[in-house]
Amino acid sequence: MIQIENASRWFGQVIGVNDVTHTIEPGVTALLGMNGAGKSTLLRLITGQIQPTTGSIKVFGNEPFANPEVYKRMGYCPEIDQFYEHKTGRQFVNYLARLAGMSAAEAKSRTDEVLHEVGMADRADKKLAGYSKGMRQRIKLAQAILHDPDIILLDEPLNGLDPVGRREFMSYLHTLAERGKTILVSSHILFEVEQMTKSIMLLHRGRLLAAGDVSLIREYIDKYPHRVRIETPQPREVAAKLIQLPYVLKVEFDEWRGGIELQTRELNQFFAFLPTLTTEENFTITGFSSPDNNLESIFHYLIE
Amino acid sequence: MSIAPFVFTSTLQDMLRPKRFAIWVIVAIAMVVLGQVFLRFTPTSTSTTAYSTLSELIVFRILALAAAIFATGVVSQEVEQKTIVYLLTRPVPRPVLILARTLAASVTVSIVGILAAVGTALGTRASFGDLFLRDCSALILGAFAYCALFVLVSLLINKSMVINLIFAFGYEAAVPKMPGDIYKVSINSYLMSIASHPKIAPVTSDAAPVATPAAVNTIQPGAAWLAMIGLVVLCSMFNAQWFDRNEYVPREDGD
Repeated sequence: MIQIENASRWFGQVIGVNDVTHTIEPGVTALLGMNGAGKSTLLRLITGQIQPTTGSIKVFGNEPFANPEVYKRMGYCPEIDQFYEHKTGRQFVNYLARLAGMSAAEAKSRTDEVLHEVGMADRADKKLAGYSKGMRQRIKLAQAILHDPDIILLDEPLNGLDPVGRREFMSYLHTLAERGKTILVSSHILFEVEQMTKSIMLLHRGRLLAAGDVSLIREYIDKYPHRVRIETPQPREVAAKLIQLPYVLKVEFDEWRGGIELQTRELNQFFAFLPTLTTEENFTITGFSSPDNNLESIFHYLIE
Repeated sequence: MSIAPFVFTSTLQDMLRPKRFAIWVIVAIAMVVLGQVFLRFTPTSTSTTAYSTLSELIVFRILALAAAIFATGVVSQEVEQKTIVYLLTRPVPRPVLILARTLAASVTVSIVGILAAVGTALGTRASFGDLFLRDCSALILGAFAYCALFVLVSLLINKSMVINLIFAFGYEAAVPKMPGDIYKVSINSYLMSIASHPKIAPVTSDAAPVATPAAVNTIQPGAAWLAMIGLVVLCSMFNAQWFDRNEYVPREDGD
């Protein structure tokens, strides 16, 4: 479906995408990377808004740049939050349906359908200028799927969606994938991505650092001890208890912020034990977090 | 090519929507008032001379101003507002997109120019005869020429509105009045040739003489038509080719 071969893209002295090679097949693939990793640049290359400086990108075997044949079968939900603000949501989607080549009657009926699918049917007659971030995301999704494309590219589509909206969106994404669509979703939140798909592309500073099953990345991360931060007014007592656990490797006091920070090889087991600290040992735990569970540390591990 | 009429009509509807177009209706009404004021303060003027003077001095300037504004809306404004992404990821050939949108801008600017001319004719009580019709044809051709040129500038330069406005008000106002043949590199000179306004005798005074007299416009109307049509065709061809081969992407902060 999408073949990327040694594609690089420079912006003057800055490299946006660096020698990326990958093939994207039907199903949901997540493009994971921190802000500035090159996700949007790669999506712009695939959507033919820009051309690679070196290498090639083929969509359905064709170069996508300014290629209407490719756009007939591709839907794109950009990250930008700009619209024709004077139009209503319905007018906007209908306008883009007409630009997709539909007749007036087809465009009207398809617009009604997709607005219903994204849960905007009852709010589509208000001006876009008055929409919330979540409503705008839904409208962007509607315009991306309205011509029933085979490839759907979604740039940070969950931004601004509330938890209900996220759940609905993910469920809808799976429905589209079941229909055989190729879906590429960019995100910078690992937790979010894990709920969407197992197939990922991990971008860092323009380079494709890893690609494949997200669980492989998880396993890789699990080779290293996980850090967990616990906030408690009784750090010494809690530390004394925790250090006795066989899977806790190290406990340190955080003198500056208070609380303790520990390292464990078995994160799930540790989290399963954590409630007993309060229920059986009567310690007060005011908060806990796992600083490892973010992309930055994953990149750190992978680069190491 | 069946998408072209839709691109044209939807762009035209957008450019003519009341909120955007109201200012040009106000300008036309202002021309009615200005025509009446002109007649009142120059009692020796006939309706024809009053109309010709206001048309040359103001209506053709309004045309260039409107062209600078609407031509910027064809591509530049879409890039700046970042909405270009929705247009460029649709199955619409880029040449069709830009030509249909430029055509819509040209029609809009023609309407603006003709409205201003109608306002001037009403204000000066001039007839809607040959002079007015020649003006209308010059205004329509001028709208197409200015739009094609300004779209070209907007494809080549970021923030092209400023350049286009300087061209419309500085270059186009000054160059036709310069000595020698340099007036021939101004669109306005060709439009004036097509409009063929009656010559107005200069006001004599004892004031200091002008250092160098302005050149007399010797461009024949037929040649002016050909030159303007040539300009529109060449610019449009260039615009279509250029837009089809180059990237127009809004800058995003996130990546």
